[in-house]
Amino acid sequence: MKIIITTLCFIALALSPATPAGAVGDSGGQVPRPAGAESAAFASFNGTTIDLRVTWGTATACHTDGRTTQCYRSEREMDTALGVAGTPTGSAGLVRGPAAALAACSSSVRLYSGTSYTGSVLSFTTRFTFINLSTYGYDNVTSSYKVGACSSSFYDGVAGTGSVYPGNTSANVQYPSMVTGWNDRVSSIYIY
Amino acid sequence: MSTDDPFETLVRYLRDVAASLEPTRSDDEVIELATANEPHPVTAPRPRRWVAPVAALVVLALGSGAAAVFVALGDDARPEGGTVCRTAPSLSSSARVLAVSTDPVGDCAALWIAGELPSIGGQNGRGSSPALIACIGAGRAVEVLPATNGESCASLGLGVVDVAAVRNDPVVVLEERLVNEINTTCVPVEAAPDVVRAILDELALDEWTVRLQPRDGECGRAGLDSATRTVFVVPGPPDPGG
Repeated sequence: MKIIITTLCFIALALSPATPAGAVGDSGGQVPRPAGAESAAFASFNGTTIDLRVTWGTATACHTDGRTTQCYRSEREMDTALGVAGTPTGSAGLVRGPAAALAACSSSVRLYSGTSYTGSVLSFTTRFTFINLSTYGYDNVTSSYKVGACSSSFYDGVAGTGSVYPGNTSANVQYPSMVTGWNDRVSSIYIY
Repeated sequence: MSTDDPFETLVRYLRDVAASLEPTRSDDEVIELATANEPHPVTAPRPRRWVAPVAALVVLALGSGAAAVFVALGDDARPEGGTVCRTAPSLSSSARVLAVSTDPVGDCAALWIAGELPSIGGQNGRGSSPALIACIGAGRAVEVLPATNGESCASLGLGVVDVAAVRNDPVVVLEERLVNEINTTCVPVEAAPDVVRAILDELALDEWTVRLQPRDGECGRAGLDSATRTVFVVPGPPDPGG
């Protein structure tokens, strides 16, 4: 009976109403985090962790290295954290683990949910791998973009499948809108 | 809405008890609370018969954590090598134990986000997770704890997790090998699928398939879709940078 009551108490704990998420302190950030295939979907944001596939919450800018993701309240805040080179300088919360870092471009490709670089922004630097945007809750969202120092390709299917975006995605270009028929259509990208 | 449903009665009562709990309570204290303060005593002989089935139903209703078990406060009997998702930065806090995976922090964050860890002290609710740290605990379990006040493994008396002890995720390895052995070189399109298959064989990813995309291009590039367990070989031009 003791065991049953104990068990039920913990079940009740699990069932108890959730309280609003509160900002809590960042972790020490010193512990390497083992990385799985879906790790990048879990972003550190304001001392919490959010699953970007579910919601961005109040985050409007996120940067990923393909293994871990850090989100910010604004693109400006992200720029400050990333520094000029586009590499995080102070990643808080979850820390990348032992998985080998993927090659990175010196500056990022940025996808925007709104035209003219408005709305939310998702920033990538990972090269030579197809990046599936659904991992970040960003499938069929892109309405404008900026390409950094490395040229890229956009696709409307997962992992580079489907059609190739016909607009200019060469290095150092930016476009405030997509080619006709491509608004909210990009599903994966590849950075060379 | 009042009901005589014993399930509802039990859940309502236990919620009341749970609301007063702190993570540092011992299991004896919890039991004492649950048994001493019962506000609506259930009629005598029957309830003992439905407690166990109801408990089973509640556990089933928790759904996704089918393989998970709840750890009583201070319980040292957790499975070795598991991932212990703690509800507070203390080894005496309640927790759920999951089978060890390649991403213990991500696994526990998912529980927090789904609201499937107890909400204690108002730290968290459905939709987000506190910052988490992973440490190595007794029995080589990976303890994943909220770091609400800058706690570290050392400050909690735990060792830094030996990340090498966590088995490598073959999908992560697959991605890295596709990048290194195919995408950063110009593997001819016609040869690329065989290279991918060889990598899949070496990683024992037997259930994965390889699909060649019909597109012009001399170099094969490989991308993976974990959802469908498919590696796509996509023809393309050589890298612009050479």
